[in-house]
Amino acid sequence: MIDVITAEIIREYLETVSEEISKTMENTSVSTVFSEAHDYSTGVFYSDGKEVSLLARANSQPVHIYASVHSVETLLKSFKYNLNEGDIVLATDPYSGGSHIPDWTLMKPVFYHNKPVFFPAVRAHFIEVGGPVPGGYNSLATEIWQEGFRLAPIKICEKGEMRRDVINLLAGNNRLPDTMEGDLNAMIGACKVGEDRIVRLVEKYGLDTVLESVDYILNYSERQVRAEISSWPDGEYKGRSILEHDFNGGIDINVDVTITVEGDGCSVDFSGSHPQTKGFVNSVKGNTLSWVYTEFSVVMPDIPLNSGFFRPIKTITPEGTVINPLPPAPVGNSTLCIGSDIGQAVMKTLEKIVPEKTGSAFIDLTINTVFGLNSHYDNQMYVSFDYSTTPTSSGGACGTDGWGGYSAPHASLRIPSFELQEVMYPFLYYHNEYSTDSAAPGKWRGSPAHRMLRMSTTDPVVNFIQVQACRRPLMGFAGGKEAAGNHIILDYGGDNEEMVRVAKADYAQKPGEIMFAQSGGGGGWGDPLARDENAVLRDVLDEYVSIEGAARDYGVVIDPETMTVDGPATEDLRAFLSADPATQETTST
Amino acid sequence: MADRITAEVLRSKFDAVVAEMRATLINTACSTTVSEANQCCNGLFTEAGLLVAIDNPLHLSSIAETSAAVLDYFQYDLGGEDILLTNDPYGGGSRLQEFTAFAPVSFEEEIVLYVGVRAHTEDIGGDLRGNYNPRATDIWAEGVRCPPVKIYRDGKLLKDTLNTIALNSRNPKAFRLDLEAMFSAVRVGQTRMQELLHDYGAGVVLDALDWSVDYAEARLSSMLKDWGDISAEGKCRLMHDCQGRDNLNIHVKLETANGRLRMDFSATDAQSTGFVNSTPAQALSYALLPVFATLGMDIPKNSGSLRCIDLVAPEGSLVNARMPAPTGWSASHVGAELALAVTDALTGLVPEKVANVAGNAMLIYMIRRGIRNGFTVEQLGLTNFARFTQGGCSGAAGRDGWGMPGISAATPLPSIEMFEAEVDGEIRKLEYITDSAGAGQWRGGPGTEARIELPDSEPDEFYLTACVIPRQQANGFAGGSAGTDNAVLVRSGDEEINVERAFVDGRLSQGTELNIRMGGGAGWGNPLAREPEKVLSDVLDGYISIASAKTLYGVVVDPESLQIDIARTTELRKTLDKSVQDLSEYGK
Repeated sequence: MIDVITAEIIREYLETVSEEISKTMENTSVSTVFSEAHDYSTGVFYSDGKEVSLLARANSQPVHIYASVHSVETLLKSFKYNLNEGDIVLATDPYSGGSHIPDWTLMKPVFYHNKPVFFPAVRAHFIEVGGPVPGGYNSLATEIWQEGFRLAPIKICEKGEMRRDVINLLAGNNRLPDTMEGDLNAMIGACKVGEDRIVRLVEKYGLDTVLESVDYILNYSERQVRAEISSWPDGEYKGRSILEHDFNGGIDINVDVTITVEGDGCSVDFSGSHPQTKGFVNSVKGNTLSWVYTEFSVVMPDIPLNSGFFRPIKTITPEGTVINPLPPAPVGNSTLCIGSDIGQAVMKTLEKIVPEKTGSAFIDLTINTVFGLNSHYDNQMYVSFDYSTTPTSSGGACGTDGWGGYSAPHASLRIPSFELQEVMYPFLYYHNEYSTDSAAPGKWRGSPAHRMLRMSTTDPVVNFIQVQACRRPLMGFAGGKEAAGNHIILDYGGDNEEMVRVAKADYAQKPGEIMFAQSGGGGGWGDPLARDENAVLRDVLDEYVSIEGAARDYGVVIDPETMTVDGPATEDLRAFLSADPATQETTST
Repeated sequence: MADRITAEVLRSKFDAVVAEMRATLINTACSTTVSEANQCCNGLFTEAGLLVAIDNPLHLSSIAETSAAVLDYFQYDLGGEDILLTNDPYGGGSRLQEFTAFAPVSFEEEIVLYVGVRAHTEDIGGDLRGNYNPRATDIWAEGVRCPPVKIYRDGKLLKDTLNTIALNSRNPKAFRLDLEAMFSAVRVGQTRMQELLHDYGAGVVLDALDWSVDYAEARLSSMLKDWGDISAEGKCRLMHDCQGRDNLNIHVKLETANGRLRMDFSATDAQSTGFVNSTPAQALSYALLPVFATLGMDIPKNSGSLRCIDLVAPEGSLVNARMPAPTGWSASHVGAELALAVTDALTGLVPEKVANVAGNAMLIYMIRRGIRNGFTVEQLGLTNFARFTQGGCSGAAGRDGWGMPGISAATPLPSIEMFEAEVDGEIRKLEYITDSAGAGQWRGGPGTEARIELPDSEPDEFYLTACVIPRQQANGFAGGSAGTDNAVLVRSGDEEINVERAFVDGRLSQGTELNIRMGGGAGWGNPLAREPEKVLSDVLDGYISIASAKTLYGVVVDPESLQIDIARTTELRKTLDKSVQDLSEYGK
C-alpha cells in the first residue's frame, strides 16, 4: 500500500513535468501563437491497457487538454497492434480524436514491459493548416474538407526515425511550412523532455510505486468529487445557452443541459440540443466533454484535475446534434463558439445547485484571422490571429470582480505583446484599453469591455472576421447582469464604416484604414444593488464606471465635486430601484 | 548487348506492358473518370528514371518529371517492394485529383526499372467537389497536396498514410478502390516486366530500355534535322482566366539547330491568379503535341524525345507558375492555347501538316448538395457534362475533322441511357450543329449541341459551374475558316443565363434545362477548293446548309433535287475566288 506522502509527491512531480513540457514548448516554438499567446496545452496521460487517463496537466487551455484524453484514446486504438518504442504519433482530425483541424495533438508513448504506459502530450493550435482559407477559420465552410488538411492518426516518427515524407506531406499542405516544422519540432522536443522526466521518476521510485501512486491520485480526485456531489441535493436541474448564429445562416442554436444529481454521481444530458448546423460551429464529442469538465472544475476549484475527477460525471451526447455531430459537418469554430455555450449551459445549470461557485468561465470570441504580404520582410506572407480583438471575457464571481483578460480557466491564453505584433505585421495599434460603463453590473462586476483600434500601415491586411455575442452576450449569474457583447467596425471613422455582427470574409483593409473591435467582457455576479458602495466609487475613480452609470446600474450616488459616495441619497435610490422593476426601467432612461 | 531486332521487339513489348497496365487500371478502377473517361496514364521508366514507354502523350513530360521528382526524393531510401504516391503539380503532377503511383521493379534483389500509374480520382478535398475550382487563388483552395510519400514499405501498406490521404476525399471508398486499381496496374507492370527480364535476361531487357530511349531521341532528332535550321514565332491568346483578366498572351519562338528544338516562351504573359496556370512539365506536354502531330503520331515518345527539346519557360509566367498558384484547369486551358501557339509557329514551316490538336474545352459540371444529418449541407455528388461536348476537331490536309480533337478522343461517347439512369434527367438532344464547322478544303468537325433536362430537385440541390472561353483563333488553317464558339445556356426557372465567362457554383432552380453548345473545329485550306461532291455530302448529312454551301464553298445545291448545279457552281467559284483570297489575308 502506497503511503499518501509519496503519492502526493509523485502527483506534484507529474504536474511539474507537465509544466516543464509547457515551458519547453513556450521557449522553443516559432509562432507567437505559442511563444506569446500560449495557445497550446500540455499534459501527461496514462494507460492501464484498458482505458486512458489524464494524470496531470500544466496551467493550460482546458479546452485543449481534456479533449486530448479522447485523442490519446484514438491514437492508441489506431495503433493497437503497431506501436513501438521511439514512435511519435500525431492526431488532428476532429472525427478521429481531435476537436478542430488546427489543434494538433502529439504524443510520445513511454514503454515499460513492452507496453506503452505513459504519454507526455502537447496539443497546439496551429495557425495554418491548408484548406481554402488561410488560418482555417472558413465561415463559409459547410463541410470539414473546406476547413483544412485532414490528418488521420499518423506516426511522424517510427522507432526513433522521423518519417520525412510524412513531415513533407504536412508541409505540403501548409502555407507556412517552415513555421509549421519549427513548431512541430518544438512539440516533439517538449514531449521528449516529458519522457525524460517520467523515465527519471520511474528510475527513482520504481514502476510499481509510480503505478500505485497513479491509482491513488486518480482515486483521490474521484473521492473528492463524489464527496462534493454528495453534498448537492438530488434532483434534475436544467439550463440552456443559445449561440446567436452559426456564421452561415443558422440562428439561435440552443444547447440544452439536464444535470441529474443522484447520490455521489451525476449525469449531464444534452438531449434537446439543436441538430448539427450548416455553419462551422458543430462540436465533436471530445470538445463537448472538455467544456463539461471545465465548468465542473470551476465549481470544484480545489480538487486536483485528472481523469479521476471526470469519473463521477456521466455524459449523454445525442449523435447528430450540434454537440456531437456526424461527419462531415464543419467544426472549425466550435472550440469556442459553440463551446462557450456548452460551458455556459452547464454553468447555468450548476447555478441552480451551487450559485455561489458559478461565474463566467467561457470565452465568447471574435475571431480575426489576418494575413497578407509584409513589405518590411521582402513581401513574405504572414498568417496570424489578432487576439487583441477579443481579449476580455472574464466575469464576476462571488468574492471577486472580473479583471484582466480571459476568464479564469482560459487565462493561460495570453495576449501577445502589441509591440511585437507591430514589429511582425504591418499594424499600428492606436487603442487597446478598457472602456467606461461596459463592465457587466453585479455585486461582483464583470471585466470592462476592451476596445481596440488597429491601423494597417504599409500593406493591405486581409481579414477574416467572425463575431459572436453581439446579440447574446455572456450571461450574468446569481442576479448579475449580462456582458456588453462584441462587435467590430471596419473602416472606423472612414467613408465606408461598416459594423460586423456576424462574419466578414476576405476583407482587405487598406493601408491607413482603421479597424475597431469591442470585446465585451464577462457577466456580473449577484445583484448590482448589493455591491459595496466603496467598490463602486473605486470603479468610478478608475473610470470603469461613470457617475451616471454608478447611479443607473448600481444605485450609488456619487457627488461629482467631492467624488465621495452620498450615503443617504444612495440608500434612497437603492430602495427605490429595488422596489419596483417597472420604475427602474423609466428612471434609467 | 541486345541486337536491334530484339531491342525493337522488346520496345513493342514495353508498349504492350503499358497497354496491359492501362487495361487493368481502366477495368478495375471505381471512378468513372478512369473507367469511362479513361483519364489516366501509364508508363515504364529506366533505373535512371527515364521514361521509356507511355500510353498517353498528354502526360509525357509531366510523368517524366514526376519520375525525376520522386526518385530524387527517395534516392537512397527505396526498397524493392515500396510503392510511392504523389499528386503534386509542383513535382511533375498534372492536377491534384490525379494521383501517380510509382514503384520499382526488382530483379534478383536489385531495382532495375520502374513503373508508374496515374489516374484521375473523384475528389481530394478543397473547396469544391471534383477539385475544379475557378475561384481558387492558391493550390490549397483546389485540394490537398500530396508530395511524394511511401504508401507501401517493404510490401506492407502504410495504413496511417493511406488513411490520412483518403480522409481528405469526399468519396473515400471510391478513392481507396481507385488506389487499389492503380496498385493492381503497378503489379501487372511489375509482373510482366519481371517475366521479360526472366525470359530475355536482365542484360538484354535493360539494354533494350536504354535503346528505346536513345532510339526515340534519334528518330525525333533526325526529323528535326530535316526541318533545317529554322526560326519561327507563334502566338495565341487565352481570352480570359475566369477571374476577370482578359487576353493573356502566349508567345512561343521555335528554333531548330542540329536536330534540337528550342521552345522559348519568354514573351508569354505573367501567371494568372486563377486555375489556368501551368507548370513547365505540363506546359511542355501540350507544347509538344503539335510537333508530334506534325511529325506523325507513330514516332516513339519518351524521355529520349524530351532530350531533343530545350524549353525556356520564365518563372512567374503562365507556363511556369510559382508555387502556390492554382493549376487545376491547365490541362484544358492554358494547355490548348500553348498547343495553338506552337501550331501557329509551325504553320509557316509545314502548312500542309498543321491542324488544331487540342479542342477548346469547356468546364461544365454540377454539384448535388443535400442534407443527411441535421442542417449540414454536403456536396453529395458531381455530374460532369464534359462528355456531352463531342465535337470541335479541326480539319487537316487530306482529312475532314470528325468528333473530338485527337487528344480528347480517349473519352468514349457517353451512354445516354447510363446518364439518364444515373442522374435521372433527360437528354433531349445530342447532335451535330448545322453550319458550326469551320469551312475549308478539309472542313472542321461540326460542333455539338446537347440539351439536357435536369430532374426534379430539392430547392438547394443543384449547383452549376461552367467556364466558357471564346475560341482563340480568328481563322482556320491554310485559308480555312474558324468554327463556331462554345456556349452554355441555362434556363433555370424564370431565369435565362448565358454563361459568357465563368458561372461558379451557382444554384439552379427547379426544372432547369442546360443547353451546351460545343463549337465546331477549324477548317483547313480554301473552302472553294473542296470537292463539290463532299460539300453535297455534307449538305445531305446536315453538317452544312444549302445556303452555306453556296456562300462559303461556292457550291450551288438545288434544294428540290438535292443535286449540284455544276454550271452555277463553276461560275460562282470563279467570282468568289478573289474575295476568299482577300478573306484569307484578313486578320494576319
